[in-house]
Amino acid sequence: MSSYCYFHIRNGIGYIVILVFFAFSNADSSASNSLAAPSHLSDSIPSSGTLSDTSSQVTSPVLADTIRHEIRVRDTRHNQVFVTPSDIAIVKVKEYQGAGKNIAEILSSQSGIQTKKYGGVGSFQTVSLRGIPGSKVAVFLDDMQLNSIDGSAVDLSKISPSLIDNITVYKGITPAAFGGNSIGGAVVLKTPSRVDSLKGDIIAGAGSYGHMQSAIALFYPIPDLKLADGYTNISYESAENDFRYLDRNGTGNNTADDVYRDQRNAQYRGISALSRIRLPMPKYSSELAATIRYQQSHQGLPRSEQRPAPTAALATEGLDVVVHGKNTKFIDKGFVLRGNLGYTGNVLRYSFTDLDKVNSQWGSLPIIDIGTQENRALFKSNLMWFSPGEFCIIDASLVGRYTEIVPKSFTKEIAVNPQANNNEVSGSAAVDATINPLQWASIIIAGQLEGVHMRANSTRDFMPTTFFVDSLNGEGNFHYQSGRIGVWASPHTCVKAYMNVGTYYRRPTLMERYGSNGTVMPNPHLHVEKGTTVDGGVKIKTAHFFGDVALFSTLNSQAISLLTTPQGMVARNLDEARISGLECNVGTSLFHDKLGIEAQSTLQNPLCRTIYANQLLKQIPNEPVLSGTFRTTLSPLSFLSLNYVFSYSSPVFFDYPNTLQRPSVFTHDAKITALAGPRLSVILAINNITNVFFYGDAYGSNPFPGRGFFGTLSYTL
Amino acid sequence: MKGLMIMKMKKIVSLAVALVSGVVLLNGCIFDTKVVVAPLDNSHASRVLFVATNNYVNGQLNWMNDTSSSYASNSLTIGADVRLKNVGGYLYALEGFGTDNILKIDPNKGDSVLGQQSVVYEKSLADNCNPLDIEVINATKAFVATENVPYVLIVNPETGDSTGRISTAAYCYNPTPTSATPSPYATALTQYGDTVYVLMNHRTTDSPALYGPGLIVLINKNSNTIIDTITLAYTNPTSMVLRNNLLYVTSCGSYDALNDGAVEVLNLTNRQHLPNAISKSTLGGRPEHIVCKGGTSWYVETYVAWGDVRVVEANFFTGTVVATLSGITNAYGGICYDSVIQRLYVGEQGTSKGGLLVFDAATNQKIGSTITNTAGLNPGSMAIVERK
Repeated sequence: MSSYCYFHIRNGIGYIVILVFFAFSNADSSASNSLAAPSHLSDSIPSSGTLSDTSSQVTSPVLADTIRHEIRVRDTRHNQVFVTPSDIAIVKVKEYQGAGKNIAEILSSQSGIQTKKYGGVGSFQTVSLRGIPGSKVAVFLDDMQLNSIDGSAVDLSKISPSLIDNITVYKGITPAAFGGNSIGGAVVLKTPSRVDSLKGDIIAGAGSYGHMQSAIALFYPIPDLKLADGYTNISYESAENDFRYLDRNGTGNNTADDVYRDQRNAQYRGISALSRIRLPMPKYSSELAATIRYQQSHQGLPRSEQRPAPTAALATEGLDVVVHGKNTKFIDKGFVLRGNLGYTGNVLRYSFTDLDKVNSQWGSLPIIDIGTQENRALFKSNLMWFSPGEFCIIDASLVGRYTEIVPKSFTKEIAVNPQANNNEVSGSAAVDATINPLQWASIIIAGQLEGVHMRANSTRDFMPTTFFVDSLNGEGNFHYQSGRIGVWASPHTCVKAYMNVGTYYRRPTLMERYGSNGTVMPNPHLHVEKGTTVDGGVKIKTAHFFGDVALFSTLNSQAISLLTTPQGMVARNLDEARISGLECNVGTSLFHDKLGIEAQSTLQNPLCRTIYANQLLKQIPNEPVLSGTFRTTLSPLSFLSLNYVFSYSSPVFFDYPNTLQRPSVFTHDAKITALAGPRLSVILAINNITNVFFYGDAYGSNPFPGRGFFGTLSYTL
Repeated sequence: MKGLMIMKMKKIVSLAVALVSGVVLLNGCIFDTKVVVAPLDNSHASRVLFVATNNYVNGQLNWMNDTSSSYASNSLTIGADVRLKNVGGYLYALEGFGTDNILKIDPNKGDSVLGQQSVVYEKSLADNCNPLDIEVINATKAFVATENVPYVLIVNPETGDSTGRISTAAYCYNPTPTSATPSPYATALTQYGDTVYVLMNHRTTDSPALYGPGLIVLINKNSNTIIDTITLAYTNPTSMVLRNNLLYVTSCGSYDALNDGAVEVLNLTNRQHLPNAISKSTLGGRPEHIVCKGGTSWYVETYVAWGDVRVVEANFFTGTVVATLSGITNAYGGICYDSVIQRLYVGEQGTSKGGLLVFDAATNQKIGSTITNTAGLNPGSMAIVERK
């Protein structure tokens, strides 16, 4: 039996409630406590299919082995980054366990990655890569792309970190297995791979502002089906988000009516479950697997200052079902074939009552309830071929996708939503060809073709705060192509240099082209957005040191952005903009892994990246010019680990006219991990130690929590 | 051995500190992005043009002397949806939709024409009321037209505090929340004698064919009671201007037809319509705003299509359009006429060439280059205030 500490701490003063959280006994004492044997991703399902990806070591429970695991894993991660001939980042989510952070916050510690946050726990949060907004970053969960066809960014706050084993971020070239074409790069979230025996984690944590996290993850062999195994993860997260913020009462020129308030109606409840059954069929040199993921969340929408909304809420629901298959029968001839067949359904549902005083056009609205549903079916196949001696490696992917958006209105009194039929069918083919003329150098040539058929029926829906907008009836066929080339050389076993040049496109989405849901006006004349990226860098890896310096430059033309107009939102093509920068990562482990140090920094010119860039034609640093993270882990004793993170971000303008500036920000986070037993670890974390107040927008909109405490118990089966 | 480790630790910590300090210093030296506020302009022109600029998300209050060819360097951050009005030498900025504040500026206050010291007050009005117009009755009483709530607000213009309400619920075409297709409440005010005229726009969110004719509600400014109404001849009225005893009302009609709107003219002495209205078809589009050039000549902001908003000079005596001003793409940012120096200011909102256009009223020709806001914001409302 183990106890579970529930902390509810505000501004450093609080109370601790000890309560019994769970009882656990009869653990299989024969289960290995050491690190599971690494299993190469290509040997497991789900798989990314990339040659470079060796990141599937199962980081199952861990701390019983040694507290210095984190530093060692980091060393492994550096190896993986080193062998990849482009600029990538690999994040082991386990390293961040126990601090109460979400996926976006974890990712933002990497160079070239910034996060935008819109409130407390559970509020929308995404990441931008090298200055390209999150709406243009492809996000995958294993093989399933999470991006909606409405072009919006993936909300990374809704994905439980406990579900993810590791994250690979492709900042430069995106492999063919992940579509190949993405102006903003790709973020690939990977769930843990298989193990051979019963293993699992039970994690429970609680912290300031009513934040709670709990998760149970189990790997289990299925005795009745030889070699088959299963993995199930159920996680729950909730928060009251009742932190204090400065309410300026909407009067920016009058400080006399400013008051500090506690955030209300910002509560969040989210649950997600994933289950995967894997069935190897050695007789046929094949493997089959089926994964089902369900996610549901409910959160209050407190809105901004001056006029809090007491009952407004957003509910989301998502279901993914994927069947994976792999055949290695012809592996001796160099062929590996994979395929996925998946369905994804997502529902968003906003609700308001008349208590919320919704900004309607001509008065307060009656109770409204608005929903949108998106259904997707996807077929994806991936063929990998190795020539003898691996002189040439071909990685080809073929993807077919059908997606429909179904606006749903549950409005009681506004019945203006006829059936809509907005859908698209797309097919794409991407190929990466790697040629290895020398042992120490390679050339990668990649390309992609895509064809899309879009169809939009006029629909009319209602959103508060905007005008009615009818979308457009339309139908059309479009095709796109892009290509990339890269070289790398390793003149020394410790040094690798690479350079990649690529062209990319982002096609207008259904919503951007035809309008949608009463909020976006149609613009059938939109051009495809184009990007040309050049990046190059040097990586150095020795026994105790890792260094990676990368220069990047992206020329973004005809960028598609939604502009606000009196008639509502409309997508427009922007002027050309170039985003350039320098990324630097260094890391070392010293004193027999007792001390690990990592530093990441990004220096960039965030030129013309905002939606009004075409009007302003000047630099609008709505992202920091300089940002960096210094992270150190000290393990002075075998049962104790101290982690300290210092982050810096240079000033950022809140608003497009560059009149309201957030000053530079220094934040400090600390974490202590201790082994309380052979299977039990205790983690205590303090985030934002100096209690810096953040806001997502000008005038104190979207406030963030200040200092927060978080405590976690982790039990390893 | 221990000493060696300590030495190594010191080196590492020193290196880390140096690295962090270096990049911070580099940032401070090379990438200092702080806004440098230019010295205040202390030139004391007697007449000042205030321009509320915006990009539909953010807003600024810019100003310039009436003879200047550019905005002054200092500005004030305000909401994005703002109406300006000059009353008694003060500038009132009504921050609308989503902000709902009243901001009073004293251009004589402080050393600068515009700055924080010029702000007399900024007060929050009723939630979601969307204030559009103000009429100051006396030193302690003003009426504020509020589009989203079923009453005209009474405020104290000295303090900005709300002191009362006059219900307009009974005169709204489709009051909310009882109607699924609501109509605006009060959209404009003007006073004539003891009466305040309140414009009620009778459009809805639904088909323009359902619009009822516009309505003007008459309120006795002393007793705060509604005393009468005037039904307009056309639908969808958006603004009105009083000149002498004549009230000019821009009735837009529907969004697509040209035969259902006009600039109506009412004689307030007998509250009767005059025959010299100018129709939409004559204007070539929907009349949005009008300003008097002098005599029977008026400038009319005419909405032709999305992105195509023109300014025409119309003569209400002859009922004809005299001229269409050239060089204008999208005058959706409004018009403002300075009768003293005979200049017309046009708020150009064209995506690539937005800014303030200045026209010589004598020739109807553009003077100088487009006046732009350094932040790229386009005009949305204008008012001229005389300094004391």
